[in-house]
Amino acid sequence: MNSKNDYKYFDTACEIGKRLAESGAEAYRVENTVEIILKTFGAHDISVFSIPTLLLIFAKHEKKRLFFSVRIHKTDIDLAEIERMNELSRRMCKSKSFPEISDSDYSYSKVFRLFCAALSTGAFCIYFGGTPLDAVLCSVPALAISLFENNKPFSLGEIAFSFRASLIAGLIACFFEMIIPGCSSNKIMIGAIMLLIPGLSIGNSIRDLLFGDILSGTLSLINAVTGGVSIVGGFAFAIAFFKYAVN
Amino acid sequence: MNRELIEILTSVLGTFAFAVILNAPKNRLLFVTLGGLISGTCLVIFQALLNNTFFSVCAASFITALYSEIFARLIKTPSTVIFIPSSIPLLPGGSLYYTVYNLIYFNKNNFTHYLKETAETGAGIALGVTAVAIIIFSIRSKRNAKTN
Repeated sequence: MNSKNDYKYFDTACEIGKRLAESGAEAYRVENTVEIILKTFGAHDISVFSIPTLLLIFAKHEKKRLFFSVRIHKTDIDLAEIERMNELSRRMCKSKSFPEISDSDYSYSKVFRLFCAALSTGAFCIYFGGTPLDAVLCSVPALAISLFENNKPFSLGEIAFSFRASLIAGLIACFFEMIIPGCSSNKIMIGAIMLLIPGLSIGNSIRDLLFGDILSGTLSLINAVTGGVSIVGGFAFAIAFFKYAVN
Repeated sequence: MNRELIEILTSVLGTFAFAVILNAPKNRLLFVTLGGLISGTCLVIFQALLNNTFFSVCAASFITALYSEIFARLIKTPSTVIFIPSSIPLLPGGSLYYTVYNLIYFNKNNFTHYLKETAETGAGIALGVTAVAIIIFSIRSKRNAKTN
């Protein structure tokens, strides 16, 4: 075996860790997965450090020091990618081979995903007390948010994106209430808010904090709170605009 | 139709749709939707029994997280894949919105009420998940200690 192949497992483990972190896996899952792969292939003195924006991996293989660091640009939660990387790491450890990592792809068509965005907001609109008319109208801001998400510029941060998306959803909902009698902008906005709410990251961040991953937990918590404030800000701006400027 | 039944049905529908948006693997959609049914039903039942947002959400979150951990082991998938979409019906969408609404309309009492409810829901979800995580970690470390 040449020396390049000796450390190929390290590159594959780093790639799996990076993809897990980018797809929204918890810090402990990223760290655990990478550590298990490295141990299986004979590395020692392993230390893996994962926070929402950075992944650092150190290890020794015989006398060689191995190091990897990457800036994590979190995109959207991709559950299929988390499962794929998990399965790949299991297979890698079992067969001690280096599988090729192909690019992730959406399992569902774009049209079906847009339909599901409308369906989910409509369902939650009724869940929170809306009428069938509100649920149907709710699909318009949902489609607007989903289309924005699909065409999100890389430079636009998560906070700016949430603010813009909630502002537009809020304006559409208030406009509907103005022109369509019998519909409630409140219920339409509640349905739309469900597409943007970062509730789960609050759960994950508190779990990270309680398990001693202070830095990861704090960063996730700040991220969730600022994300929540930006959503609230967008809707507040839309409501205030229609309350004071239009009416 | 009965209000509770509507809540359960819409939470199942919403969970399924969210699972697609979050790109859940196709062969896991059934388990994820079942998770939505469990979290939605638990929330309705506990709210009727306990009449307290924090404890109802905490109990529903605990049961949903436990379901995710058990089924994740059975079907060999990370528990996150099941838990993230299953817990969507627990999220405080309504109370977060009414917090903003009452802020804009300067309704201090309602603003405080909904802000408290949003915080209680968030804390309830987190506590439920953490309780299950503690149980899982304890079992795992006991098993590791035995094998070593």
